Amino acid sequence: MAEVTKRILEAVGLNPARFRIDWASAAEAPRFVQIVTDFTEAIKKIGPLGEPEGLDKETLKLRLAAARELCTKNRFRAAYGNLARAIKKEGDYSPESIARKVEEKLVPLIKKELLEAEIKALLAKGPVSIETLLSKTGASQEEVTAVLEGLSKRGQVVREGDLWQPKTS
Amino acid sequence: MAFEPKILSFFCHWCCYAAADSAGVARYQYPPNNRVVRVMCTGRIDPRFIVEAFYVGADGVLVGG
Repeated sequence: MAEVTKRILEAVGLNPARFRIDWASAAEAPRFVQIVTDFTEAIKKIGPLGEPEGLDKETLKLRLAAARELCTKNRFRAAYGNLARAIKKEGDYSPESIARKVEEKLVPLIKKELLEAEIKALLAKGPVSIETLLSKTGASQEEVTAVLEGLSKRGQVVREGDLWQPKTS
Repeated sequence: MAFEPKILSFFCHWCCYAAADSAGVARYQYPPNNRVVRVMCTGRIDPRFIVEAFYVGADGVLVGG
C-alpha cells in the first residue's frame, strides 16, 4: 500500500516524502511523540503542497483529480489486488522485492491511467489542440497521441482539424 | 509568518491512537499540526484515502499503525 501510494504521488509530481507510514504501539507514547514531531519537521522543511515541486494550483488540482479518478478505476484496483495476492503467495515481503514488483506491474498502468484522466478532464472543458494537452500534462507527444487514439477507438473523442473534443452522441 | 503545515493522520484505534492518548495523559509536548482520523485498523487504509487528503489540501499524510 505504502509503495503504491508513493509511486502515485511521484507520478502526480509530488514529493513522496509527504506521505509516511510508521508504527508505535499503545504503550509507546514517547515514540509516538517522536514520530509526529519528526514528520511535522520534515513537512515544514519540504514546504506547502505543490510549491517546492513547481506545480501551480491549477495543475495540482488537475493532477490530483486524475489521481483520484485512477484510484477508483477498476483496472487499477484489479491490478493492485492481483499484485497483493501474488506477493502473499510468494511470501516475499522485503521492501526491495515489493518495490520491484510495483515498478514492474503497476507504475506503467498508473502513468497511463493518470494521463488518460488528465486528458479527459481537459477535453471536458471544450476542444483542445495537441499542443495544449502537451503543455498542460507535461507528457511526451507519443504518450498523448497513444491515449487520444485509444479514446477515439472507443468512440469517446473525435478530431476536428487540429482540435480534439469529446464525442457528443 | 512561518509555514504551518496541515497534516492529516490516520491512526489505528489500537496502536497509535492509544499512544496519542497516553502521550496526552503523560503531558508530552508535540506539534499541533495534526488532524487525526481514527481507523479501526491500519489495514483499512487505501491509496484513495491519501490521494483524497492531498486533493483537499493536506501538506502531508501520516499513517500510524
